Amino acid sequence: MKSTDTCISQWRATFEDTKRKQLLFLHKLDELIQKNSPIPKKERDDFLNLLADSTFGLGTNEFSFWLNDGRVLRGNNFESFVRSLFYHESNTVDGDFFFKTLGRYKDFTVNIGELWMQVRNKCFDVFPEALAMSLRISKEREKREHSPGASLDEI
Amino acid sequence: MKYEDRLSFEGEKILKRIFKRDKAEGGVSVETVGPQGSGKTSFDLHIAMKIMKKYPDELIFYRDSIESPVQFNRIDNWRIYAEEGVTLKFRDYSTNRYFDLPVYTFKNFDELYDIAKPGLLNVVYFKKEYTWIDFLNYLRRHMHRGSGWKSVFLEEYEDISPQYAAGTGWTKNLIYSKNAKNIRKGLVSTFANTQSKGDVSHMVRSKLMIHSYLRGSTVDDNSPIDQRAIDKLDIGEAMIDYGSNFGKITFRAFPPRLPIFEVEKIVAIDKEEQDNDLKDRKIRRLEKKLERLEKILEKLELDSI
Repeated sequence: MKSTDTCISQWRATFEDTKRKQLLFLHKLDELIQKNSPIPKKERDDFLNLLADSTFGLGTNEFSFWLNDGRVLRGNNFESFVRSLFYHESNTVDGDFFFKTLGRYKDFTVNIGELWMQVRNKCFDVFPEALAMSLRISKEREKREHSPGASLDEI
Repeated sequence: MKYEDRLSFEGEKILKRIFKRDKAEGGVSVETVGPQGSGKTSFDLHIAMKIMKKYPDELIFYRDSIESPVQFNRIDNWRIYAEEGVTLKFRDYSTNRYFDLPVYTFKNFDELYDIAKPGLLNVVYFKKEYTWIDFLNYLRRHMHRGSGWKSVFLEEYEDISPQYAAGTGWTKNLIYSKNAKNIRKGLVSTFANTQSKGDVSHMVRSKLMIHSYLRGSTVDDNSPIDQRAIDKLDIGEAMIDYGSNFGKITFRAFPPRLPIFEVEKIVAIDKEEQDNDLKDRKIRRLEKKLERLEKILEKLELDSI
């Protein structure tokens, strides 16, 4: 498996690593939005890795995408929804959408680009949390906290 | 600044305070807590060695536990003293035979203070363990030898002031706690170590200035140090607190030296003292009986009226 970024040498991601991964993920999403295309099979692994490295699995909460024409897509788990989108192969997605104008659920088809845009917006919620977590678990922090201690011999 | 990180910097500051000899500030009282094998004795002996080198005029007294391998022989210079009436026997563990070592005997504190030699570890064995408390009191009032500064190392000091002491032991604990501040002002530095903080009288512990926690120890509730910091320590490292300041220090190990031997303390029974104790007890009992009888008499008188 080819890594998306070779800079990560440590097994624990640092703040800088996480920031870089998040930017890369956003750029890739921008491309997908422009092209309105699903993810090619070859890049699927890279996307899965990018999602894991940039969110640390923190985006598992409920979500609701507000689309055009008063359509609302609701789900229980944002990350599982995104992962399922990675496996989608056509440009359009069929789904059971809640129509705000009608006040009920109805089958509808939506362009995948529109969903990628909503995914990107939701990522803005998750990314700061992941960055904060990377600060807590990074090796730099451990190094900063490690103290050699004053030596009794040198007093 | 010698150390870049704050913990080491603060640790150095506290260590410097321990080795500071300023009459205005007085001595220090340091407590070291750590389970078996965490390096309590190494830490204390290290400090003793430092004091010997830095202040060769200073008197250093050392209390070692009995009937366990001696600790003081880890360093080169030491002398053994025993109170009159105490016979010391030295048993080598490897050969299981008794051997002789020079022991200096003394009658009272005055004599001990005079024959003790500065620049080495004066290992003292008293008849009763809590005599150390009286000796500390004595030391704070005597400064006529050398520079006047004294250091006392109390190995396993829960034997001297135990938490669950009754009678005389409890009274001695109270005396120790009341005099702790004066001991410091009397140019005496005390270095006590214990395995568990719960073993030592709370009256005494609350009066000690500096606490150092070794690997595996439990931190005090009122200490500024977090328990997690102590859990991360390695052997040869310690967290040390002084009031609200705290830091980290490191020290080398002092490996035990051969031969490994123990001291057996045989105390001659003083008949006069025993008789006095018995007399005291009898008098106390009679006094209590008298009190009771008086109360009964008072009641009877009241009833008759």
